[in-house]
Amino acid sequence: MRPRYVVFKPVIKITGNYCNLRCDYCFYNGLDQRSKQIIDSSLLEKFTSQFLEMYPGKDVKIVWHGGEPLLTGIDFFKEIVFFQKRFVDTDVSNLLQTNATLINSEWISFFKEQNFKIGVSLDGDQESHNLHRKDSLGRFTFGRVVEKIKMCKESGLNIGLIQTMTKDNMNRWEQDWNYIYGILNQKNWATNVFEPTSTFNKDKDFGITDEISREMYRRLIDFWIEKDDRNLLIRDIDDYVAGVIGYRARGCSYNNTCGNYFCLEVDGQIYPCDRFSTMPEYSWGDLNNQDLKDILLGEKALNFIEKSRGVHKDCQKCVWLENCHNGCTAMLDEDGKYIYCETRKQTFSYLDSIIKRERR
Amino acid sequence: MMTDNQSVLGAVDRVAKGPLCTQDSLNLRGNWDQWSADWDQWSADWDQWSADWDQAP
Repeated sequence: MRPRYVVFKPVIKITGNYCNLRCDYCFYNGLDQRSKQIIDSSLLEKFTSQFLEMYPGKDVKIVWHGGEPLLTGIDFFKEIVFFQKRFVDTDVSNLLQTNATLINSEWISFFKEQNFKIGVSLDGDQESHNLHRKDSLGRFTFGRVVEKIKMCKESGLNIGLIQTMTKDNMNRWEQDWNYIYGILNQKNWATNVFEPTSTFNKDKDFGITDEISREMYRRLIDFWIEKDDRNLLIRDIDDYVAGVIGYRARGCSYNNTCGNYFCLEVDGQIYPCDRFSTMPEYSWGDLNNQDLKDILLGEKALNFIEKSRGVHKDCQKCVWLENCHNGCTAMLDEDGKYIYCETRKQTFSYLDSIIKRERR
Repeated sequence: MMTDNQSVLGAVDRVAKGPLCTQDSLNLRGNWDQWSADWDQWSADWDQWSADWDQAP
């Protein structure tokens, strides 16, 4: 028997690649981001009913993504919530990742009323953010994004931030973190590193190599320690701390849960993760003509999950194996090894030494 | 003696609400029967942990 319901957190690309920004590090940069795409309402209704019927009496989380999901307009999201509320036995938590440029008071009221959890993409201070995050007309976006972040905070809507790190701003990472922490007074954020090896990224010269990544995490930990703030939650650092003190990390790239997410593309295709959604060979099936359960429990899905649970041969002798599990399946080299393997080992060891030193 | 660095203490408090990291996922690889049973338990743990996490500042 194989695992049942190994997938419980869907990422819905409700607008496909359709976006009002043209961030040059985006997975979808270079693809058609201009043509309007919004998922078909009847397909979304089918998804909602079939997904929620799999989890009677449970709490589930659904992540709304794009492109830019707010391009659907607010009425579309009201319809989504209407679909969800038919399933009175299942509690749904909605999480939405946005570039924030389209947020207004109406959206904020809706998010608060419906308890949506909002993640906003912000790369740091003005200089760093504007390096890569421009709109479809090539204009900088920092001013608009920060205005909307402040609007959310003043309205009592708590948000999280996701910061994408590139090589371009490595000489000013501390300035970016100080901006987020000190100026925006944001104590909860996640860092993504722009990886340089995948098909869509390899021609870009601002990717963060394993070597640069090691330095980034070392400096981030130093920053975090120096702030000496109990409420400062930097997601990756919490994952590293979990590993060091023997708890299971939350992030899928640490805890061997690749495949617990899946991605519903705007056209109805189901992928293991949005990182794979530009690669048709990774499709698990088509929701237009298959049932969700058949797709998620189908051979393609289970084969992917089974394969993703495997590790590289070098992992077997690594003391951090159970805290890393060979990282992210979408970031393996040709030999099947996590491209940030050394970063993981050195960062775990560095944090371990700090915690032990502090304990003396 | 535990560190008094507040950043570390805050992170330890948060992650210690989650499940312990055990050898299960390594030992059970290829043993899907046991893995499924473990999964059900872990999902329940995860739900509780996520709920706690969402309450974090």
